[in-house]
Amino acid sequence: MSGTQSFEERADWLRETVAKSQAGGARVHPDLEEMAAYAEGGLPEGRRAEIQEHLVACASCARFALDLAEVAAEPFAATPSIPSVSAARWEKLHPRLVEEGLALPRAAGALAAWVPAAAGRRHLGSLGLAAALLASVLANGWQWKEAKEPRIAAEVVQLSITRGEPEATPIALAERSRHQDLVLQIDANAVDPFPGLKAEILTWPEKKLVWSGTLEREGAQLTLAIPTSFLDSREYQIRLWGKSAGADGWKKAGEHLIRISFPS
Amino acid sequence: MSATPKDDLELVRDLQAGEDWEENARLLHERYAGLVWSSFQREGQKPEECEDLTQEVFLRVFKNIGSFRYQAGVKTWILAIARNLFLNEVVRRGESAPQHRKQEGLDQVERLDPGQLLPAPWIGSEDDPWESAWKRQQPEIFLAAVAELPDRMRQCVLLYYQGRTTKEIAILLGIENETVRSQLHFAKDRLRAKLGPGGPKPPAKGGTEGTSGS
Repeated sequence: MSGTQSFEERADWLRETVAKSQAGGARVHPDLEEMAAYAEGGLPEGRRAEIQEHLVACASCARFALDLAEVAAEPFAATPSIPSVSAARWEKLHPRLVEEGLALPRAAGALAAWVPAAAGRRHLGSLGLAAALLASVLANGWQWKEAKEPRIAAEVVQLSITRGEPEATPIALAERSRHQDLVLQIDANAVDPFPGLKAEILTWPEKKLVWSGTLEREGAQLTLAIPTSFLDSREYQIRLWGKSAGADGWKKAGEHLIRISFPS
Repeated sequence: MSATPKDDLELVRDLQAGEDWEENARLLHERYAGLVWSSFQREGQKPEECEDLTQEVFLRVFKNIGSFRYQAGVKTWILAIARNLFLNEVVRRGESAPQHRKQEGLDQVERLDPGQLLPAPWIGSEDDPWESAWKRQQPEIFLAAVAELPDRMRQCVLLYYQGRTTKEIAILLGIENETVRSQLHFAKDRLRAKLGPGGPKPPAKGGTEGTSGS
């Protein structure tokens, strides 16, 4: 150690030391909305103070907050809202929104308006689907792969459990639930590590089997894609079955109750 | 027929509810795509890059609109997404554009008001409390002395040693620039009193302390 230490070196040492000494909460980077709210001078005082403490130790967040405050405060003129430019941008964005299942394929105006963009496909019925597809074909040519369904706006609530550890097996609606599948996400660590896993979906409390399928492993998550045509807004029991290597039969690995709500 | 356009929050609320999704999405896009485009242009991006980045931003906006919590204004939230995307893009390209841009910004400030800039007069000078602590090979005692300062003063000092200008610290902490300067002034006096030649000696360390001076 000597007196010739550079400013950057001392700044690094200070930041690291302060960061290490901070309580757990201050180490977590604020999310984008919080950073935006902070830059605007918003947020409740307690959270604001926590973020200030974080900024003291996290140079990258401090830099981000500064940039955002600067950019948000400046009344720099947006590109003039020329209708044709604006419309052209939207037209370029639209196929991406369709690709993501956020918007419907471009269709003739009346039909497009008739189909609620963010509603679940199940409400369209087969006639609605055929009409939407026909409209898509008319507008875009014969592009089967473009005829995707909108994102599912369903809500999945985990109610209780009839077998296993309730808190240890969180079931949630996966981000990629859209088009024609409602995708459930289950923490793989919370399920016994059977090489094979399948699930049955039963109505609750009638216990009538409506669908069964295998669970896919995606890193630390198990996912279950259920075609929405099999589902209604109601409560279901999910039965998980596991199969060990070389074993003949399936063994029950858990039972969970969930409520699925589609927007009316 | 209502002639009043929906405000941002109404648009977001309707998007979250899935009401007339496409029209509301188009309106939000129409309202802010130009602003986002301009923010990329200010970063020196070419027009076609601005278009691509703007498209990415709105894709993210609409993918994440469901989790918007109404903590921030919609405009600032969209700009935060844009800024974050840009920084990620810069990292992906292996560039250092944000620093470069910031430097330009600092230069502009410097021309306007040199007195507000860091490195501040006392950083690296004989006056710098850090220097005394560092020369004694005890940076910890500097930090311990800083930790004893009142919260606001402590935050100012630590941000100051991150290399922030007093103006930047004022923005980050939401206080006046003059307040930052006075906090730093008092902090320096307190730290010097603690760490300077007349201040307390660092704690003894395994019997090796004091072997060089006497």
